[in-house]
Amino acid sequence: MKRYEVVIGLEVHVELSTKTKMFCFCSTEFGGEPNTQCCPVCTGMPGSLPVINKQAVEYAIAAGLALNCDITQQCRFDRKNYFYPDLPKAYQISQLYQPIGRNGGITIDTELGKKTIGIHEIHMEEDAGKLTHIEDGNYTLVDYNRCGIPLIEIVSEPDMHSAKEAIAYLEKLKQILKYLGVSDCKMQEGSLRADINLSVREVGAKELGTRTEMKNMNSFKAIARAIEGEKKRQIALLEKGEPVIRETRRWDDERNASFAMRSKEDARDYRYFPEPDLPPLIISDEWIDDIRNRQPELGDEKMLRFEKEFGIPAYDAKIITSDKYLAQFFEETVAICGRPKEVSNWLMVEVMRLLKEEDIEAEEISFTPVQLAKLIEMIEAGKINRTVAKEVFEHVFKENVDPDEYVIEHGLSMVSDDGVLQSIIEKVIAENRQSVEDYRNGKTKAFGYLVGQTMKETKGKADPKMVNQMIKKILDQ
Amino acid sequence: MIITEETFQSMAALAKLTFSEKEKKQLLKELNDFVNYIETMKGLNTDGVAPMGNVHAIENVLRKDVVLNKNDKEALLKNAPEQKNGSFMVPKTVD
Amino acid sequence: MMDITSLPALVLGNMIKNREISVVEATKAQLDAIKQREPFYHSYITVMEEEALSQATKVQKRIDAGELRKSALAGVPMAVKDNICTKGVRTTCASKMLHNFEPSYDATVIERLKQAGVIILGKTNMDEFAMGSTTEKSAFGASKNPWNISHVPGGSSGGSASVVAGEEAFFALGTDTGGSIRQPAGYCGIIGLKPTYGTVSRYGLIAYASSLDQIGPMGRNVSDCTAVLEVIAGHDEKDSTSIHRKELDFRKALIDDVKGMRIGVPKGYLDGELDDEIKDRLYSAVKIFRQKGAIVEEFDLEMIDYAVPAYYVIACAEASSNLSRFDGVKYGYRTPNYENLQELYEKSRSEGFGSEVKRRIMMGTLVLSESYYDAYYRKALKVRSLIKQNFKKAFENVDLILGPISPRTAPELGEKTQGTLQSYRSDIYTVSVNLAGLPAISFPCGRDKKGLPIGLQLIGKEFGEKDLIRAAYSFEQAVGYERPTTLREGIDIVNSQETQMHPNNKSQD
Repeated sequence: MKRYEVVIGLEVHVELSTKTKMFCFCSTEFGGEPNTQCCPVCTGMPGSLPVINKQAVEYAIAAGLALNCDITQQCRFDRKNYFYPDLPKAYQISQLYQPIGRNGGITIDTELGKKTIGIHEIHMEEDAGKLTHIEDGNYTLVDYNRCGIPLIEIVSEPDMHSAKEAIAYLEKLKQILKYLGVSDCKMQEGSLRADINLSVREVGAKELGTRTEMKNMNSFKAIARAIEGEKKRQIALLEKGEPVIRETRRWDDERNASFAMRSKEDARDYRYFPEPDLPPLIISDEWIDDIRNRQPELGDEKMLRFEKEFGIPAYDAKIITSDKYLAQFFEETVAICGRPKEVSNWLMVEVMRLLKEEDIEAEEISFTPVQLAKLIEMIEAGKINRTVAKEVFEHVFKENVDPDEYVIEHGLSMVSDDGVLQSIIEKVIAENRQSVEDYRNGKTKAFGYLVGQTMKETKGKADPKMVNQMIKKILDQ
Repeated sequence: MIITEETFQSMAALAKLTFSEKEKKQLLKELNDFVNYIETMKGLNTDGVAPMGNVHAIENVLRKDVVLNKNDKEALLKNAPEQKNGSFMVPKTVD
Repeated sequence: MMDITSLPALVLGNMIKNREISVVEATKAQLDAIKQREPFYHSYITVMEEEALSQATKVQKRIDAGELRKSALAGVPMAVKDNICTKGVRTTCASKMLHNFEPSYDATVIERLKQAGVIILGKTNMDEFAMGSTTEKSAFGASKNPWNISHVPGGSSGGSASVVAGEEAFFALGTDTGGSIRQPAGYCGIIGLKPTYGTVSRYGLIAYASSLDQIGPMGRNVSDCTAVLEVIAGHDEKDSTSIHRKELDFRKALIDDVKGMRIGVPKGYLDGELDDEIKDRLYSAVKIFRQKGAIVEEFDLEMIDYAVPAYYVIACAEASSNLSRFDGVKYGYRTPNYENLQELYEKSRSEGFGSEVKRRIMMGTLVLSESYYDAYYRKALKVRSLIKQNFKKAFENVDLILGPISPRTAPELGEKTQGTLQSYRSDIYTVSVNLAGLPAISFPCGRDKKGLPIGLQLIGKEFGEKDLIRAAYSFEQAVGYERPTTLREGIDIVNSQETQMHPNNKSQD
């Protein structure tokens, strides 16, 4: 049985979060009615001309720097010529000859330690419009709202060898770009898209196998599935002695399979040439330094700082700083109530769980650090126990309630009155003679049972510490 | 004949143009004449010369990131050969 | 009512200011003349009668309110070449592809002219998408030369030249990519000015070749053209190739004094296929300049032979890309018979474009294709760089270059051109100017044996419009302006045919 290794390169398109498009003053807001955020420039009207958005260039440079690229100081736009209804000028203004960044790389964590994934180049380009295919009408509708939105395309080296590595790379990329504030990287909204270039070869082989390109993955999970699927497909072909055809394939996540796309044109010649309507960009050292100095603290830096400043473990710091907004939330909460380890636990466990459950990103959290801090203080002050706190927190997260008010409204205050607890415990013991026997005969589990029953009687509100102490006292008599 | 019929077909396909047999014959000859003519540029030594796309040394023409354009849908769709629901309409495109 | 249509634009402007004539009267008079003359000249694709009169009323109100005191051309009616976008008014580029296209915006030059109170009479005929040199390659039929209506007015701004010479407008806008203002101006005996690249905004000019196109004025005298240039010139933020120029007070250069000006005549221009009569006129122009105190000498201008191939490579390459947007999807002509997207594209484009346009698109596609990009396109850009450097060197020793515009005077309509390449080669005197981005002005200098105007051109250094204006103005004082034969002697009705302007069913061959 031959052993194969898979070689993966990723081309990631990222929408820059500028207010206006790359070459005109139209809004980039998501979700407008078709063709309501357009003008003669972005719809390719005759006589229209492009003008470069400075913010987009600065975001691109910032991204290049954060991804450790060399910034191309004499930089140009080129025209990429082809016909498609989503491309109104029948050319896309992109960069081929002098992309804005080259020879970069980022570090990911793998099971075998840290690994650098090379970045071949990053370049700026404008996005195309949106096509909506109408099945029964046999026509397609074209909306140019998205046309002209600034993109950067990040082309990696074929340095990844597994779906895991590919996802780690994408996660890292997303983290960095979000920290920079240059994009919100939302795959569902199309502000981050990835195409997979994949080939397989026998372990030890020097040459790369024939690669295919895959498109249409809408989530990181789908990307992982697509990689696995394509790897299997290619290996199966090679095992049969059949060649892998160099082609573009469309991933269908529902059917967990890919399909060759009918090639729009064989071996397309895009006839790239420098965009004559746009003078070159000369990016000075001063400009680069200025952008570099304005770069906010990125994830890795922040992680180390959190470890040092707040004394939390590396593991915690890594998770909290994996997302810019989560990290921000952490710092703001700690600023109110202190207790960094406690705050970190809440974020790592409950917040992460609920983000996943609700399928939202950290920046979409509706409640504030004030509420989390309050909750933590309430536990510390003995107002509620941890079990209740978890329950309350779920409501804070989903409904943005005030924890204090919620506890009072629902009568969830911790029961820690000696007298009340004493009578409840006595009742429980009286009703569970067998368990008392078992405990005295060495079955420690029985103790937990009695505690559990007591908690049940108090509808979970009893102070667990007191309950433990008091039951033990009675039983050990 | 530097430009073959095959090349002609590729160029026509790239430019989305079709020609009758008669037109093709004529144009093929003209393309070859043209190519022969522009070959004469080789007579000028351009070693070490940078290609000049823009005639003036302008650089860094940049604009502010401020939304100035409003909804212009009516005007933009006015010339559309076919439209539906505020969108331009084309025959079904196959990916 | 006197026939005011022969007046210079500035003279009319002055009369309007002095209330000797109202804007509406002037516009009406011009529109009447158009009605009379159009059957013979065919210069207009669209005459905007209603809009022009409505504009005239509005402008008169502005003048009465004291608003347009500083505008020398307020109230003066003009024409616009039909590749310049006019909001809400059909802009066709003389092509079936855009036969019904109405832009949603005004080109920047139009905004500026409207601001100055100018009246737009209509859109003039041209070679389709500005590709051609006779205005015969128009989907709306050919225009005629007011000097002899069996001859072409030149191209691609033939309609604009014809309306100015034929007194169907007081001045016009043309566009020049490889000589398309200067050559028709020369053929029609008027002034045509191509500004330094970047001087006039290209926003709203339907592009032929982006790095070569410029809009410029065409008029019956240098002063008129200069006044127009002042209105339209100047930086535009919508055009990234537009230049921040100071000193746009070009009329200051209207001085009859060329003493000490150094004028060079390239030896290479006098060889080759230049018509003897034109050569003679060139020498007589040299004499006149010398008499006025200029220093005129022949000199060696190198690389003349490389300009035309380099020009066609670059122009066709850029055009092939610029014209790709005409795909039948968003505007313009869409073929009525298609089964799928590919057919939509191919048929719309093949049916909508004329043969010259298709020819140049094919050439452009070829030189940009992977196999040929370096050998032809990149090479042409390098040749361009050398040509520009070469001019720079030349202008160290001269202030202006004097030369012919075309190897011959206006050919007859329907004359079988010697072949595509031959007709391309006759652009030899004009294209290098566009390659180098320099300004140039063409001006009339007598007539040939057939009675057709002979035009010459002066080429200036980068941003050297003022020298051009001064020299041309001074020459004009010596030579004067001649009205075309058909206006002086009455149009030859017997040999002409009265037809309407409309798009042909077949594309013009």
